[in-house]
Amino acid sequence: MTTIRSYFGMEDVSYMMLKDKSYSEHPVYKLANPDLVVGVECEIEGWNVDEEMRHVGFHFETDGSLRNNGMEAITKPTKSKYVPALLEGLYKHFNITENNYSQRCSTHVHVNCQDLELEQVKLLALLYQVLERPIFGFIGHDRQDNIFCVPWSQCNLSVDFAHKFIYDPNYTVRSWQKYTALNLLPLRDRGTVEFRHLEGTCNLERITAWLNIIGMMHRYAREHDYDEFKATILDMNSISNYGAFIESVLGEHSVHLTSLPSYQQDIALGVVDCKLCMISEKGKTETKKKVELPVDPTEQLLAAIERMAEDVRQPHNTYNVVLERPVAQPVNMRDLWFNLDVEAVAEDRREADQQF
Amino acid sequence: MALEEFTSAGARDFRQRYLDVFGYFPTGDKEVLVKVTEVSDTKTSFVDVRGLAYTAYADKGVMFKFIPIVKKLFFYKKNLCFAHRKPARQYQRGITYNNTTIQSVFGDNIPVEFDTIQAYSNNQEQDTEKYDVLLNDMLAFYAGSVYLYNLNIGVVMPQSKRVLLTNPLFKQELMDSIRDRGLTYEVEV
Repeated sequence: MTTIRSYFGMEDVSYMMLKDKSYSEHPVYKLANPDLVVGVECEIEGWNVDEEMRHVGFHFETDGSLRNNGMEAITKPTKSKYVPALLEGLYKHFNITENNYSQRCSTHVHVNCQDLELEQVKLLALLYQVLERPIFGFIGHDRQDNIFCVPWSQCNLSVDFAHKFIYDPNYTVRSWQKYTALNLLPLRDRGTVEFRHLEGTCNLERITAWLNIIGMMHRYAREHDYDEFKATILDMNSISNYGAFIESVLGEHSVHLTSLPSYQQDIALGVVDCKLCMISEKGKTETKKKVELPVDPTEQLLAAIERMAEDVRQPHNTYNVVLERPVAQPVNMRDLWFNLDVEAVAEDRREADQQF
Repeated sequence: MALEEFTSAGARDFRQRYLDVFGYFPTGDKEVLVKVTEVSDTKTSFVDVRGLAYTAYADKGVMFKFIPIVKKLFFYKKNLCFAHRKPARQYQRGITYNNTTIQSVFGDNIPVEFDTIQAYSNNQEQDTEKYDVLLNDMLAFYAGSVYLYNLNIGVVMPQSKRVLLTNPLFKQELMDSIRDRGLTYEVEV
């Protein structure tokens, strides 16, 4: 069993965690995965703090993407059940309201994955791939168009992720792009994955709902076997009961996604993306089948001739069973020159001239 | 497509996000496909597909409609092309050559220019061969094969109206797409 902590050789997060026992759970906002260790980065503009400022449970950093005295308030690693109360304390102390947030601001959640095995992190990432579109639907605010929160589904980034991550986790993580919506880069130095989806907000209800979705995804990844998950996804298609699948992952919090009008189509697309990722795992799928020639070769031939006649200008469009790009054959010019049958060429030219 | 107003207060952000980006400027009842070529604090310049240059001034209610990048297939000059977003660090929003990759499904790079973006935005169905069909954003029949994004997943036999898939995983999705497109192909594995 190789965990993220042992693979990357990092210190246990408990050394950095919030130790002050005076912190308590919020009386209203309860978390689905209360002991999950998270860190929350809140980008806030229009407030007077600096990096030297102290506030319990937080430290402050500048961020070049923010304006109007924008600073980032970052919690220490803490159990998610303490986060709502911590954030409420920050908002009250600095009089933070929704006016302190612009389109530039966002709320990032780092989730501790140090104790997860590599396969479990892979499961978490692929589960995210399935749910990404409805998650963006839940987040709203056109966050999928945000340049600091690029959805995996808009890139071709994850297509060979499943294979590469197990084969060489270090390289896969190191070459990851920070501004993807689920950022895997911090796995290497902190043992966390970063969810960059949420806009800048001080709405505790919304932040708690988001933490619950993340917490349930993390729990699913921890409690399920990758092969079982893979079999589930490979069996799913556009006539599957996606609502039941989301409920099996998010439990009572599935309503955040299943209440979206387009969640069925979104999940269907996510399942296709996830399948594409899974079939790239070499040696693990037996589903690939060799194409055999069609039963009726005459028809095939006729179709090919018809097509070639229509498309002489684009030879790569030729109708073939398996399309292959033409490969240029190397020509040895020296042999061509010295072996040239000069007489034959001259004869050919004479005949051509006579015909002309 | 998403709209953003060009204002003097937001000119810095506008420059960062939209310089060299393709998008639409709504003019009356029409929308002109343009490329933003210059942004200062007070005005922005752009050119259209004919090379005509325009200037818009800040705080005049001028809106720019950028084209969100969606991973999808489309036909361009009888080639099936696959567009997707580059996740690398960049600050531009909407389609530009910096953040968008367009390739033919054979892997040839296609330049991100006016005509490719028109094809990308309009899904130009008329620009196809007889048996080439764009089923939806992710599936297409092209050159005798069926493509899922840029992955060749099977063979199309238009005479007998059959599709042979190399992988059963996508059979249902393909059947749905064929049905939604109003075609009558039989899908086999």
